[in-house]
Amino acid sequence: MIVSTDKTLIVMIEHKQVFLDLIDYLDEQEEGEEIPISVYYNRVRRLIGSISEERDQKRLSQIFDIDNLQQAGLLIDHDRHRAVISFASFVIDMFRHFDSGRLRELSSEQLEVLRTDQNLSLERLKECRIFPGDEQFDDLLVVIFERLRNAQARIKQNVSSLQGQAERLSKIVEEHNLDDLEQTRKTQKALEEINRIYQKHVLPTLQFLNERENLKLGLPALTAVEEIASELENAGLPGISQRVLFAKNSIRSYAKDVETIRKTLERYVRQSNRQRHQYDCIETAFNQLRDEFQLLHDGKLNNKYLDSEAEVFRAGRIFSGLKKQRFEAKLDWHDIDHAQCFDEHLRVELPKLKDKQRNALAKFSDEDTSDLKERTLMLKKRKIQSLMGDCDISASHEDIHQYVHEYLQDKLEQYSLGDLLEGLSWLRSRISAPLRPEFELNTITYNGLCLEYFPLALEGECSD
Amino acid sequence: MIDKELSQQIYREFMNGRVINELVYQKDGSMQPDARYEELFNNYDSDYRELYENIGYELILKDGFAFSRSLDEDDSYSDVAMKIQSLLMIIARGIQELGYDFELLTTHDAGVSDHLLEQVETGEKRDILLACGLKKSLIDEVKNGLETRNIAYRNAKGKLVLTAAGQGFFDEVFGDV
Repeated sequence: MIVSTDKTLIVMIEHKQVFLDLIDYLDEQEEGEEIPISVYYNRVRRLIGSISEERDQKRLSQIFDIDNLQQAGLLIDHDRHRAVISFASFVIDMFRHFDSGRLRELSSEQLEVLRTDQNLSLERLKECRIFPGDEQFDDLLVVIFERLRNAQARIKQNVSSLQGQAERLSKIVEEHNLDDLEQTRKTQKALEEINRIYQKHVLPTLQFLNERENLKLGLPALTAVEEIASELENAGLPGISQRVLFAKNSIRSYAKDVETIRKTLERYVRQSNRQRHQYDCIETAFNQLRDEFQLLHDGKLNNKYLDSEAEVFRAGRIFSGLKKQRFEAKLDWHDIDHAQCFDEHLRVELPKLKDKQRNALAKFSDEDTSDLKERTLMLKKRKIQSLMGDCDISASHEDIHQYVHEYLQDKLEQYSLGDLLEGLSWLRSRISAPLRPEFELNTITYNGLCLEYFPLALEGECSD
Repeated sequence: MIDKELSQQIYREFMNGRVINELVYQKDGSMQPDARYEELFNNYDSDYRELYENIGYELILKDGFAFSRSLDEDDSYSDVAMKIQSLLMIIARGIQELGYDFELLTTHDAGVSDHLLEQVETGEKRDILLACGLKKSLIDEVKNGLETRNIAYRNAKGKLVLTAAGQGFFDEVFGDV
C-alpha cells in the first residue's frame, strides 16, 4: 500500500526521534548522506516495538517501508547492492531545523563557495553595462540578490547550528561528574567534538565574516559585496546599492554571534588541549619510569631497587630532602617563663636537698660515735692487759676474783664488773699455775651490778 | 613580625617531614586558607628564610605549599622524593588507564576511592612500587607517603585528593615532559 507524501511526512514528523537518531548517525559517520538499510530498519523496528496497538504497528510498517518512502519522493537513492538509502536533502534539513543542535555547520569548502559566489557577482557586474532595463543587467541583479539571500540563509543556519552544538556540548562538559566513568567518556567525546567544531567551523566562519582577511585569490566575501554596492552607487543606483548594503550588514551582524560562540568554545578547547597534554605527559613520564624499572630485569629481581638519583626521578626532586628529622628538637620555644620555672624548681628541690644533706650528716655522726666507743673499748682492753701484766699476786691467795676486783678498782678508771672478767682472762693466760675453783658461791657487788662466782684459788707461786 | 605560636606549629610540621599547604580541606567540604602558610608567606624574606638557614635548613616556599629540607645531603636525601614520585605516577597513570580524567585526583569533591586504588595496583605497577622500596599495599603506602606528609588528603567521601603540594609535582611533570 502506498501512503501519500504529505501523510508520510506527517507521520515522520510525529516520530521525529527516529530521524533525529539517523541524523546523529550520519554526523557521527561523517561519510555523506547515505544510511545503511540495516541501521534504518533497526531504528524503525525499535519504534514499532514500543507501540502496543497491532493496527498502529502495521500502519507504521507500511509508511516507513523503503519502497513507500521512495514512491513518496522522500528518498533520492536506494542502492540495493550496497544496501544503503539516501533521504532527500530537504527531509534531512527539515529535521535538522527541529533541533538547532543538529543543524549542519558550514565547512571551509562551503564557505569558500559562498565567497566565490560574491566575487563572481562582482566580476560579472564590472563586465556588465549597469543600466536598469538592460536584460543582461536585470538578470545579473536577480542572481546577485539570489546569492546574497543564499549567503544570508546559510550563515544564519550555520550560526544557529554552532550555537546549538555549543550549547549541547558545553552542557555535557559542565554536568560532568568526574566519579562517573560513563560520563567521563561522554565528556571526553564532547570535548573532541568541540575541538573539531572550533577548528573546522567556527574559525573558518569568522574568517569568512572578516572583511580584512588576507587572501591569495579574490576578495573576502563581505568586501566583494561592499564593492558591488559601490559599483551600483557609482552607476547612479543608490536604492539598489542600499539593498545590497543591508544584505551585507545582515551577514556581518552574525560575526558578533560567532565571536561569542568562539569565546565560549575556546574555554573548552583549552580544557581539551590541557587534558590531552596532561594525558601525554603522564603517559610519557610513566613509561620512562617503567623503562627504568625494566632495566632491572637481568634475571633475578631479588634486592633490585631503583636508584633514587636516576634521571627519571627528576620531577620528584622538588621534594628532595623532605623527611622526618630523627632527633629531638634542639630549640625549646615553648611559652615558659624560665625565671618562674627555676624558682619552682628551687622551691621543690632545695628542701629535698637539705633533708638529704641532714640525713647524710646524721649517718656520718652515728658512724663516728660508734667508732669512738669501739676505740675507747679497745683502749680499755689494752689498759687491762697492761695492768694485769704488772700485777703481783701471792701464791696462797684464796679468792682470785676478789683480788683482781680490788686491784682493777684501784688502778683502772671507769672500772666496771665486766672489766673484772676481762682481767681474769688476761691473768689466766699469763700464769702457768693452775686455778682451782672452791666449792662455795661468793658475791661481789659494785656500782649497781652483782657478780656471783665460784672463787678461784691459786695453787703454787705465780710466774709468767 | 613573627607569630610565636604559628612559628612553633610550622617548626613542628617541618621537623616531622610534612608540607604546609596554602589551602586546607575542611570537614564541610570547603577549602580554607592555612594561617601557617600565610605566616610563612608574609614573613619569608624578612624572617623565616634566614631563621631556617641559621639552623641548617632550606625553607622551600612554592606556589601553594611550603616545606623545609636539611642542608646536609645524606643518603636518604632523594629516597623520600623517589617514593613520592612513584606513588603519584602509579596512581595518575592507573586512573588514566581506567578511563578517568586526571582531574579526578585534583578536584576536592571528587577523588580516588580505595576501590580504584586497588584496581590500579596491578602486576607491573606493584613491581615498580617494590623496586622503589614500597613493600606494603598501595593504600598503606599512600597513607604513609602522601597523606601523612600532606601531599594528599581524604575528602568527606573518604576519597584521595591531591593537595597543592601533590599538584605541584604534576606541574613539574606537565612542564618537563
